[in-house]
Amino acid sequence: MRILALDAALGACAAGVIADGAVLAQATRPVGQGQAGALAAMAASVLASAEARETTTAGLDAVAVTVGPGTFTGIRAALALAHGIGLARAIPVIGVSVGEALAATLAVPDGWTLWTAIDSRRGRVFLERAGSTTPDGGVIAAALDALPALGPNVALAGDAAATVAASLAARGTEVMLTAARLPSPLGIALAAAARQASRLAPREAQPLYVDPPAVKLPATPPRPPPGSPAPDSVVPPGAPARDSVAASG
Amino acid sequence: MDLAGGRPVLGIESSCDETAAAVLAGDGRILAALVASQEASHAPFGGVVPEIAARAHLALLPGLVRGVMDQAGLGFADLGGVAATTGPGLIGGLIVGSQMGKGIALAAGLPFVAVNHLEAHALTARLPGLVPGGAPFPYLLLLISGGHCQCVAVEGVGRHVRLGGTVDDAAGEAFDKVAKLLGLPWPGGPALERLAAAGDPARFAFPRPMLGRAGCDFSFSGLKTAVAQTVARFGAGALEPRVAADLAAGFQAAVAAVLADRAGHAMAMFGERHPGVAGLLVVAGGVAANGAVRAALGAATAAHGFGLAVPPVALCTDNAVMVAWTGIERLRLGLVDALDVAPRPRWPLDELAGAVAAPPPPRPPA
Repeated sequence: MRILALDAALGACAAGVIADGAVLAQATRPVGQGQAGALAAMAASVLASAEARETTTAGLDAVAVTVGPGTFTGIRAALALAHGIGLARAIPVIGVSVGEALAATLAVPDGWTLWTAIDSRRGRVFLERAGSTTPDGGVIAAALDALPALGPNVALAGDAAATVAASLAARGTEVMLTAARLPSPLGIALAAAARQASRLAPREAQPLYVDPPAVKLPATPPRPPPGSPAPDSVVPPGAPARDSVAASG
Repeated sequence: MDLAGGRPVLGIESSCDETAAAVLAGDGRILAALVASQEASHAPFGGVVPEIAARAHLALLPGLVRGVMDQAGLGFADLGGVAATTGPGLIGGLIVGSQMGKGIALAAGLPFVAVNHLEAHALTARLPGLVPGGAPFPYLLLLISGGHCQCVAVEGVGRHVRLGGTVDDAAGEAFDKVAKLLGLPWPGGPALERLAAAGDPARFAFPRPMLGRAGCDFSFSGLKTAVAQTVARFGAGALEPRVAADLAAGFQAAVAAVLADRAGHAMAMFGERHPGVAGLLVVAGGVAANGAVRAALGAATAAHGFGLAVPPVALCTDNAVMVAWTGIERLRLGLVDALDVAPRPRWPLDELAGAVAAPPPPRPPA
């Protein structure tokens, strides 16, 4: 199975072509300004080098893409690109979470739980438990200074792993800090293959936002439409009608 | 020269709160067009919420693209190019639309056109069959929408000269804000026009900002403030229908008068730039749907000896037909964009790449 893997969820853009677990071509670039622009060119470039390495012209079987948690801008840039490629090639677009992509290339000893910690800025983190099959994908949002208990033996991955590990260790939790920080094209492709083979629970190829949009309804209620009755015009039964009062004056 | 080889072009629009896709034949005939309005999602907030819009664009666009391709009966290999709005607009939507367009282009081996939304409005008049004679360059564009308000001399693909524009609110923004003051739901333009139909435009004398001023700039914030002050005199509750209708009619009359006056100045400026050219004023943007505005612009163009072209409402408001058409016009001239082009939330018309000599106007359909 040949998979194009795309990621722009965290601090880097990555694209790679993976055939049955072997990396044919890949590229990674730190996120600067305009990562949305860079990823398409990177995808074209890895596809071209993968095709150049092949003696056959076998096409892609799927596009795999990280759906988050992470930066909305990067997630949407990668997902929209993936959907465009999927449409044009008539191949499935398979969403994988950052935690699933990291877990795919990590071996955690028995008795330890792998959590992926992702910086969501302003002192908050997203925490994703590996192997979760709950509808929310096992992702919770938490303030760094109010982390929930994650279990007795916690292995940590993700871009906020070090910070979370320090906090948990200070509370006496047994912590193992892994080296996995950013999703790799290989990890993304392996997780996607697992999803395709139903070894991971189904997931929509749409962003994993965790939080609803940060918007508030207008503070002041809008003016009622023209001609609608005023609240004080509700007349109690038996009271004289307003018009008759006005007419008497 | 035509990079699309005369084949159909797919267009994608997602710069504000309409998600749209369209496929046009190489000669500009509309093969399929879909628009999904997000109006209901934004209405409770009284305006477009960028994060809600960005989420909706990504949820809707794959289905819309598949839908227009199915309706057109085409596979992606049948296309000659992909065009997507890449600015100006809300960055979240621009990223979604341009990335999807790039994905299709790179996966199907097609040229990609990064379309400027304003140029797409400007070139709509050149769609075959829309304007008798085909709107040859140069012509004058008055773009009046919720996000834009400007007069542009359209002199060629990639060649646009902004003659003037708003110094504060866009015309459609003024309509929406005044509609809100009157207690009408967002977006308020059409509701305000319906209310104004029964009103007396002379009861409230609202200011006509910029009227008679040299050049063709616009200003609407003072007018909106004047309406707000007048509305405040009537207390906080619902307005009497009579009062609301008269306020709406008075405001609409002021906007129409200002737009006609500013368009008149723009026509004079255009005439100085292009002496001897048969003048044509093309109106685009949602405000072009307003009957009072159309009537005022009709009188102004007649007085200046200009023709008036107002595309159908569905082509005046945001749509993907205009994006695909701009793709066709650009590909015909060999203009194409690289896959690493970045979306531009701000992208003035005079910063367009690929300025070239004016090509002949499109031939009307046989």
